[in-house]
Amino acid sequence: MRRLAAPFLALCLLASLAAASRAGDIEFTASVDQTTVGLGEQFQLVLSVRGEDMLSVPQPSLPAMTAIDVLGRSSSQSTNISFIGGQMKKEATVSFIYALAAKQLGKLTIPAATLSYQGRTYSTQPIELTVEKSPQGQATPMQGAPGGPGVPQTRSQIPLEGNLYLSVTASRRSVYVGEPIAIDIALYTRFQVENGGWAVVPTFDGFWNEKVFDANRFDFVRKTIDGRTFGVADLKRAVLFPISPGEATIKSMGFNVAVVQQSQSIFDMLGSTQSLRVDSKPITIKVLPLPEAGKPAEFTGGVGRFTLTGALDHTVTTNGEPVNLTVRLTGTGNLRMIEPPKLGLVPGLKILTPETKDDVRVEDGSVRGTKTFRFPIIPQGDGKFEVPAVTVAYFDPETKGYKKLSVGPFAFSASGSTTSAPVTEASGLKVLGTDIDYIKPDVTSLGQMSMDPPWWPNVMMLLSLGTVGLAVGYRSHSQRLQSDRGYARMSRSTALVKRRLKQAEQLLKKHDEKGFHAELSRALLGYLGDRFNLDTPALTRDQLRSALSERSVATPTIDALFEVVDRCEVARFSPEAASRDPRQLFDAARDVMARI
Amino acid sequence: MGPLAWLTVLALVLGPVQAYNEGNRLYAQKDYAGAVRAYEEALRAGHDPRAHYNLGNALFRTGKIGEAIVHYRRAYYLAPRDHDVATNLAFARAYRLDKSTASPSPLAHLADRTLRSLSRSEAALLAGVLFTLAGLAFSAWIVWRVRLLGFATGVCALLGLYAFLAQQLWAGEVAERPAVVVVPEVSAASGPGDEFKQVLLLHDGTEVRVRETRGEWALVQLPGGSGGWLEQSAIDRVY
Repeated sequence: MRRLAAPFLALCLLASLAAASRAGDIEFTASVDQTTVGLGEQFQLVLSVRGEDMLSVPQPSLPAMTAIDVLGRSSSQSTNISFIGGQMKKEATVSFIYALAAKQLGKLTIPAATLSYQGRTYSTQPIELTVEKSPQGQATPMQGAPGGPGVPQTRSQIPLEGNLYLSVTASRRSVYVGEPIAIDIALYTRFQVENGGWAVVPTFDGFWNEKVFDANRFDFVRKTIDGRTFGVADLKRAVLFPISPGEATIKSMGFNVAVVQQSQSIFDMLGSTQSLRVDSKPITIKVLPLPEAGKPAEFTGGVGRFTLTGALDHTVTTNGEPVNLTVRLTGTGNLRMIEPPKLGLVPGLKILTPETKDDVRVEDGSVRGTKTFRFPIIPQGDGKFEVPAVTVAYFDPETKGYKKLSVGPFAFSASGSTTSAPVTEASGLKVLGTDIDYIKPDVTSLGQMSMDPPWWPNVMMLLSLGTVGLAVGYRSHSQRLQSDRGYARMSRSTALVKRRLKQAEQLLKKHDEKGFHAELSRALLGYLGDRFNLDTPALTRDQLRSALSERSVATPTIDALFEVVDRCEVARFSPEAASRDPRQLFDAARDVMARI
Repeated sequence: MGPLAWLTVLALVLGPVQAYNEGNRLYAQKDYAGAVRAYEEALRAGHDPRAHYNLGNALFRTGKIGEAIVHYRRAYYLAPRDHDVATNLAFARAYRLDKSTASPSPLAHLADRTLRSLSRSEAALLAGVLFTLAGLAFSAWIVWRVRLLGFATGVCALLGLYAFLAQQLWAGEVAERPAVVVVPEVSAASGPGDEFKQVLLLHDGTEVRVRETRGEWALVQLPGGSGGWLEQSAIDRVY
């Protein structure tokens, strides 16, 4: 039960809403004739009440406005009759027109106006205004010459039906894709019409639309149809090109006109007009597809009649500058819908996407002109080049067949091009993508490297630093040998003493005791002389002792020294009293020298 | 399991050269995963720039950009004058999700290029030899004072300085402890643990430096200075 109840309730609600809107429901709207107004300049606010079968409408209450002056008011009542699908719909509109002037610069808001009608309160939406210093120019609505030719009647004398209508005529009802259709929109009237404007602006969905004429004022021409005189005003003319096959519809369009009525009241300031809306009937166009049979590959969408021309702007180019190939398609047809022709790959040439220019005008209802394609061509090297012939195919609706046009080929020569890439490589060269380089080839041995650097170069460096130290030492030594006599003597002595000691040792081995002792003594004294820079042979024993003490040689060492010297002396002069142990004496001498 | 065991046997029996050549064969057959294993076997014995390069290629083919970058960088470290290595390293870097925004100044770039024409070992060797020669020439000059020796000292010392700077550049890079993110996506936290706030999202191949390690976690830093803690398994150290 509950499941059923909900939809049922909804249905009831809908029905009641529909009923409410039908029974005396009205529309209450507010509008201004311009939203940007000059300061102090008069503008119009229209509060209109629209509804079917309306009874008398009370005056709506205008809200209190501090920044806006009300200069005057008037009202107009009109019956709006529209014919849709042959049925007449009668609507009444009561307009309350207020002449207002703004007193402040900036943004202003006209608050909502309210209206009580049959126990209900309606309110309009607030309107935003911009008030400027200088009056803004505003597009004026179409103004007709009141009382156009042959239109003396006013509304009250004859019925509306058949005497006021919007006519839309198409030159053809069955066309190929891309074939032009001329559209003519005109207002036919037997009344005096004051002004008007589009209620539903004509749009042509599914068509490429080439504007021919747009009326900005009524320009009535007298025409007699079935013995009745009409004023006919062209409102719009256009040429349409269907884009895709199938059925295309030119939708119904609406036009509002103000028909002059006989003045009913002398107090009616703005005069009395009746605002009427007329709607046109939709028109269905049958669009035939272009035949697939025999459609050439070079077809680029052209339908009509064309001629083809083409030229290069230069036949010689230098420094790799581009030449331009201009291909022009001239004739009648859907020029704007034509795609650029395809130019094939040419070895050594880079053909860029073309620049397209349309130069189209409408003459006698047909669209004619020139479509220009400019292809920049960049030579990729030096030499003679040839751009092959350009072929364009189009469809001729008169013969119902395709036609081919050709122009070219075009030859030019290039020199001094900066791009040194060889022509063979440049022909259609395209970087398809980048990738990593390939792997290294097979090996017969692999390195077993270490991530750490070798250590021995550091050792080598330290050693070389050592040689620098040695060199410095040697250098200073050799310099001192030259400049310092004592140093030179000392450095000489070591070698001398060594030699004497060695000699002494040899003598000992030969059992030449006398020679041994003499040599040992000489070595010892010579060493002392060199060591302390003394002239030892010239010194007495005591002088030598005091000299050694002065040079801070320890007393026991001096004693040991003299002991060795004494024993040598004794041995030299009394061989029989020679030391019992010459070896021991030799060691003692060496020991003494080491201690000094 | 089969091919892996087989490869291990292969490496044991035939050695790194054969493993490397086997890797090349598998790579040519587009068995990149197999090639990766073979090259890894070849590298077990020691580093070789060619093996690192080829392994980088195989890893790149299997979509492991980060690991490929690690091996390309090792190959570059060992053979910096190899054009293929530099090309593929740049290529792999361009393939990353996280693009490096830091671009060095042209002068620094030139200096870097000049100094990095020597590998670290070459630079160390050259610096050692040249400084030794300079020392010897200087010693000889001290003793004999021949002008030619002084000139030789100067030349050797200057060249040695160049090699020394090159070596220092590499040493500085190694000391920075560079690493590469080797997982598709990882978020870095503000501390060494899952419970810390996630501060940075890193992707495969992003190059970072390891500033600190704590257990399983490593604090990494991007060249721009921002950084965070990652699990060490998400990155691979280059050197």
